[in-house]
Amino acid sequence: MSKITRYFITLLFCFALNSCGRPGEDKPDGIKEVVLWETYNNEEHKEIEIIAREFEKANPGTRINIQRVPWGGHESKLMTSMITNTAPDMARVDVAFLPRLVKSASVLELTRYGEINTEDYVKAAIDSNVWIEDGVKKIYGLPDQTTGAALFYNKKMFRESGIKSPPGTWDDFLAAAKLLTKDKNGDGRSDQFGFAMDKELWWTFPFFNTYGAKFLSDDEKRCALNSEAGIRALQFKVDLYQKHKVEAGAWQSGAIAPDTGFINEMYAMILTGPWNIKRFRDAGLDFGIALVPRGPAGTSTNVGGSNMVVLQKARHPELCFKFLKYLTSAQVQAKWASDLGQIPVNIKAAEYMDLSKYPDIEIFFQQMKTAVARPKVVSYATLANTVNPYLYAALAGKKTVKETLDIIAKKIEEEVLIEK
Amino acid sequence: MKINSRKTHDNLTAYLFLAPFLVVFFVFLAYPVVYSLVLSLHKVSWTTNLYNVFSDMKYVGVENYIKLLHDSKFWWSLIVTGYYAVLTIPMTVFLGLILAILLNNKLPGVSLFRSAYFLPSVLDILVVGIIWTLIYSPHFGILPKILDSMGFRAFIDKGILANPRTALPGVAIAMVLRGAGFGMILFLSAIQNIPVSVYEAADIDGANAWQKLIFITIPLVKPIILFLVIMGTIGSLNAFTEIYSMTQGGPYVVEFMGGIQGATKVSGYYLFEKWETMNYGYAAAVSYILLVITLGISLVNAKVMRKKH
Amino acid sequence: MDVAKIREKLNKTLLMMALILGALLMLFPFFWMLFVAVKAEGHGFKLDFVFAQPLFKNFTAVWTNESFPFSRFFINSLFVATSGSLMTALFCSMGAYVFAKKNFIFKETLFWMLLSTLMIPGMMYMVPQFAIVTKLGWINTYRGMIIPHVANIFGLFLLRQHMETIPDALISSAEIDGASEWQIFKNIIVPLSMPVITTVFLLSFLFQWTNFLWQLVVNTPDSLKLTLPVGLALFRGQYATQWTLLMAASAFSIIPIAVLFLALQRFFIEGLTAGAVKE
Repeated sequence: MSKITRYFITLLFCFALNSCGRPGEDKPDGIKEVVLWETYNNEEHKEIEIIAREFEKANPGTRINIQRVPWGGHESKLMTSMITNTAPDMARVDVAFLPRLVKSASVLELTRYGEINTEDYVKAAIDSNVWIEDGVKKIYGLPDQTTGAALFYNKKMFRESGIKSPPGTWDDFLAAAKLLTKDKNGDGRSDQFGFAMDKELWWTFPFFNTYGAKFLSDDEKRCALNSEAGIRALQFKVDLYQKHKVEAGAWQSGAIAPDTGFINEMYAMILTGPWNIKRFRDAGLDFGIALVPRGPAGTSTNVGGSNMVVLQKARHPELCFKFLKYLTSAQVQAKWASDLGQIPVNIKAAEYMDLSKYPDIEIFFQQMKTAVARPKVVSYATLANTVNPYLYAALAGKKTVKETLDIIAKKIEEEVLIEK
Repeated sequence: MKINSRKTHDNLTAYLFLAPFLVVFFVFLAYPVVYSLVLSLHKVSWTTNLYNVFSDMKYVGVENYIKLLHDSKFWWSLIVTGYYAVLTIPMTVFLGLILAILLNNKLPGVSLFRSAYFLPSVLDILVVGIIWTLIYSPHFGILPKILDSMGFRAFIDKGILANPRTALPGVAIAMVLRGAGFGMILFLSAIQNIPVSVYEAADIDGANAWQKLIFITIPLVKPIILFLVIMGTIGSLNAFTEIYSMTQGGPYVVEFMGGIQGATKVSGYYLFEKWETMNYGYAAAVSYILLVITLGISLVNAKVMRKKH
Repeated sequence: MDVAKIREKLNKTLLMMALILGALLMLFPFFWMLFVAVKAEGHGFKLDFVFAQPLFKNFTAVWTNESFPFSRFFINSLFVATSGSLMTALFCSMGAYVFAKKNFIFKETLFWMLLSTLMIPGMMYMVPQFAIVTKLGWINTYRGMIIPHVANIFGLFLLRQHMETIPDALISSAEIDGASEWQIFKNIIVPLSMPVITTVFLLSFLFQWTNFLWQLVVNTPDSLKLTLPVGLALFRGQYATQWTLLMAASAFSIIPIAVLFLALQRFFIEGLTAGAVKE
């Protein structure tokens, strides 16, 4: 083996053994760079790029590196990145994913880095980020998007049936739905329905919330869905289909989904969220949005959306915190909301936008004031998968409401609430 | 004094030379076997620190193994693996033998053909899988088209790999055509080692070609057949890349033990999925069970070989 | 010509036809791959003869593709396979030498340890090796891709077998001349074992180049060091309908090995069958 060969081999050893630079190491020019993984659609992505550039301008020497990640599977992608030490500094995560991140100490507690006034935010949105530990309020993320369901109604069909305004209570709702359910072609079957609904837990929460049924008992140890209130709530929902026959059965597999039927003017009322507004408007539909009808506990809705978190091993956590506060500040949120037609997470954003110009957003804004955040279970997916089949059985009449809720409560206690 | 220093000198030299190899061996080949067992007694829980997963897993004793016993997907994967072995091994042996017999002549250029037949077995399984996926694909794949024109219209819509009955056979055929060359070379060298006199004696006895094959050739290549069977079984237990490239475990339409199963989910792919979903403890348990099965087969092999001698 | 001669000629022709048929059967997929790889855009799945203009357009498109850096994948594969096999050849030679020619403490035990792990198939190592490599921080690095598989026991045994046949006299005379161990190794053992070392090198190269599972596991999808098979698999989704490009990319993965094999097949065949025949 000649000298050359020896040299070559040594070189190879060095190659193989040397570090090739960790991704995202600070550049030697002193600029502080942080990486944010987001799962936005095209319009939202463009918007956050603009916001990032504005932040960089106002904070020289910083760089916010926005990386797009597909929404589907973003949880496991993030978890894998932590395991393999290729994680970003900040990430946008689904509200339901945050509990697991908190439990596994994967995200930083943010009040360490500055002040957060929870009153500034839409209550349901900020609540999903707050944990009370030993009497101290700990905040593990900031909401970047919040959505919920509201009542969408077809104005034309309302006029045709002589209904002047959207229903305020569930009783009004039932009365209206009965008027709106018609057999238009005389074949003995209804082809227009007052209401169409989804079966999943997420779509049942509005009912539970408006009847005042809580998910957890006050000591948080038991599931309280099978309370009196819960039974009445679910019974009402089931009756819409089974007893009053004003619901189209849109929750069954193979049936026409609520938003599809709504666009095609088969369904007069549905529960859906702001993500459908543009689509319905573009289709030229004459529709309106109202608050979810009031039950004994008033109006309320469920909460979807996402939060921005700072990962445990983030570089420059103070910078991350600063950026997230900027992103969720009143002015930035006002711009975000008006540009994209979404609900601002910062209540004070209303001061910077003329909400009357955006009646669609305004009503959702109103609705979110009484929205109830989803239970902070470690795996919402497990919760949904456990519960949904039984909700289906209840709607299909295979089990009574009381039976269903008793089983659900028990299963939740056994499989979801336990320490895993 | 001299003897001692010689011995120490030898020991020192030996280990110095062995050092690079041994370091890699112990860290990456020996230790993992033990570590895998340890891992299989733990699991990734909700509270496991994801930045430090492997040091922070929760000890659960034999819980993973008990779960395995009740896991319909695991048992199903063993069944599929067995089916895969049954599909691939006979075909591989058969094809290898035939090609070897074919090549056992003195035609000019026969070595060219030998290379041609052997070549596919050194090529990438993944790429071979992708090519066959194209060949099998619905509407445009050349094979469904050919079958369609011959009157077998069943495949033109969904292709070969989306049909639960033909998905695994399809994969098997692709892999056999790729890998038969290896067995062929073994058979060839064995056949060429059979002394011509044996065949001549048979000729004198009036045996025809067929009888010569059955009564002389095959018995004399039995060790190779056995070897290929063992290798094939172990290979099926570890089959992964071909499934990953062609079917990803699907189509998911088979009902078994109360669950919907994938028609081509062999145990190797099942193991991969457990790793992919970060079920590291469970995956380690699965690999241990598969390891035990593999070792069992090797042991049986050793016993059978010993019996012959 | 008499009957026997005609018969012989007939047999020969039939045999030749059978051989050709066999070749078509075994090599058909690769011809198909090349066929599709040179077709024009959109004609990948049609049975016509519309070819790309120029013929290698798909190959250059794949090589220079922005969002799918094939050229980088190819270079990664090349680097990993080459350095891996060099390291393997070196480590195995060094180890084989002492097993063949030296007596040392624990020799027997070590030998059995090595032998026993030979039976453990690669799939079993996936999870624990991943855990170890993660803890070492070697994810997405060349180290992690190469080093775990550098201790090739089969190669070690192959070389040991060969080195045992080197006459001891050569070694002892060199020792008398005052040569150091390393010099003996370098100047006597290695040159005399070159054929087997080449075989081990080639087998390692083949293994590293086609090793799919490990390179998939040790890299995250956004790694810059993906090898060709992994890159191909991960990006297959994007190219689902562009079979012409996909086939061109596949060709890049296959052609180097095919060329290597055809040029040096003697080594491949000897090496791969040595273990089996020993059974």
